[in-house]
Amino acid sequence: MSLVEITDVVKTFAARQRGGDPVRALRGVSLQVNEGETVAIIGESGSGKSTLGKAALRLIDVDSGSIRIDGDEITTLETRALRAKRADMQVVFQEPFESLNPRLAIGAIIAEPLQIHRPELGTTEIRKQVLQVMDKVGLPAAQASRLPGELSGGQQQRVGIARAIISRPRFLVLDEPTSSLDLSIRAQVLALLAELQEESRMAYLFVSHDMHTVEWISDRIAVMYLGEIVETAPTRQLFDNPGHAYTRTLLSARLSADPRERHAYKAFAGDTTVRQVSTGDAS
Amino acid sequence: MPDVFAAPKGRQFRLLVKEHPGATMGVSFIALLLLASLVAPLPYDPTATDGSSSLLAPGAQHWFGTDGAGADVFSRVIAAARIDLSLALAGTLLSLGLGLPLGLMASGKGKGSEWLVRALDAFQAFPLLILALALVSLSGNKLYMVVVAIALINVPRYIRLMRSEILSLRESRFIEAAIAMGASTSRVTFKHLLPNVWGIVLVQTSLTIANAIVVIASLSFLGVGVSAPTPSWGGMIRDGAGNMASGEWWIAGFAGLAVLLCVLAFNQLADAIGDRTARTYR
Repeated sequence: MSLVEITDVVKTFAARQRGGDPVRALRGVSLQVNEGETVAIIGESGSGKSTLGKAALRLIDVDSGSIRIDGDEITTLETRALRAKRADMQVVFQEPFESLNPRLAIGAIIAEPLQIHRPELGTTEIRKQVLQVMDKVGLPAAQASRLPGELSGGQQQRVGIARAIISRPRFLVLDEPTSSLDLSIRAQVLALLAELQEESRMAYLFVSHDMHTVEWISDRIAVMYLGEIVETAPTRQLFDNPGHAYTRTLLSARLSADPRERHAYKAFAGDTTVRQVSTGDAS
Repeated sequence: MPDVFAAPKGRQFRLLVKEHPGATMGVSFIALLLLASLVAPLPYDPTATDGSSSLLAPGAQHWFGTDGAGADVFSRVIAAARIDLSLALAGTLLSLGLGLPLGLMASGKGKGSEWLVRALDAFQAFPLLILALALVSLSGNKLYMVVVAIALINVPRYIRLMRSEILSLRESRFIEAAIAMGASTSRVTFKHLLPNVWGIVLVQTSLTIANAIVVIASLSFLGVGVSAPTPSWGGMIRDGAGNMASGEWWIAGFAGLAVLLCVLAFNQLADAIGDRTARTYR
């Protein structure tokens, strides 16, 4: 049995406007993620991929279907048990700064999951573990007393990752964790995620719309379109031999009209690439 | 459990002094005024009248002149700070004490909080100064009713402020992150929501004090609340209003100036606090 078993999950959001159609974000989605495996969900905006990521952590309640993590059915867990279970399943969001409380020091932010789930460790031990995790994700110990606003985007995302892994979760949802970062930083953060997975055998559910990123990081790819998974295949196979017409469209978009290539092309005249390349991560 | 890591705090005050000379001057002025009214010896007894020296112009003997009854205006302006400022502070504290918990309650997502806001709309549509006036005079000029009146005017403002701030904060990513890490409702509220509204609450508090000073002055100008012979700025403005026409501007003038400076001081402070919270955390 897989570590994460998502079966027939349905989620419909009420219409935004009165009289509008309800949004069927997930129409019977099934997906498995194994220990140590990275499964990417790709699809365009509105395909339901972020909704699936949130449902997998029960950040939203689903209408029907089953989600089992390490054997526990999380769709029916009651509040207290669910909170305890959250030590095993964590998330890294797309917006590094917005996902950190602007008034808490970096060290306090990273310490929080331990304070919640392992209060018996005591202040000294938690401190020690925070510094260890900071070291692991490449944050200098001196930044423990800094505020999030004083860090660069790449460093903020490292804080987000440190907070996500400190409770030693077995399952991590990565909701476009690198899409707001510069290219050079993006590569560093992806390498860090791969390294962490190697060490701890975490299962990753990687939500993304960037084909290059998923090609590099994932073992398998699930393609979502209008609330359904239209194709699931190992990464290599999907790129070499896409089965579904929509997958081919996504792939052709990547080859001929990649938005970043277009951006880079324009940038020769407008000079934004120069800035993008030279804005390095301070760490 | 205390935080294992704390962000440094000490430099905030020094920065405030450096970047906001207006606020610094304002705070110093208020502090000086309070100190003078509470402990410093006044040149004259503020309530002593002397018919032989009525309506003297400002000079070496009486710095701010004397009023119609011959009392020293300088001593009265300073002495009035005692009652006017302490009533303003008490009113503000009561507004905070009621407004914050109610505001927190009104920030829920349920239907109940929406109804509460509707009720507030209706309540605030009523001219609150008139209500305050009625309350204080009906109670037989009890001073504590002045405090209640200030709270009546300001509590709805706190509720509204808290609600709008918290509702937008609730949607923010770091709250979602806190829930995702397994934080309890009270942890989310006290560690993540409330610390992020303190800045704006402090700004509002500064403005509340300024507003309270004006309300108190208005009430005593109309003859309710603080009554003679206790000196109050509003009362002095009323007493001096008649003399303005005949050229004795100093009675109402100096009392008015005191109100103006106090309000200005608290507005400056609000500005400075607002600037600091905006810059450090965004």
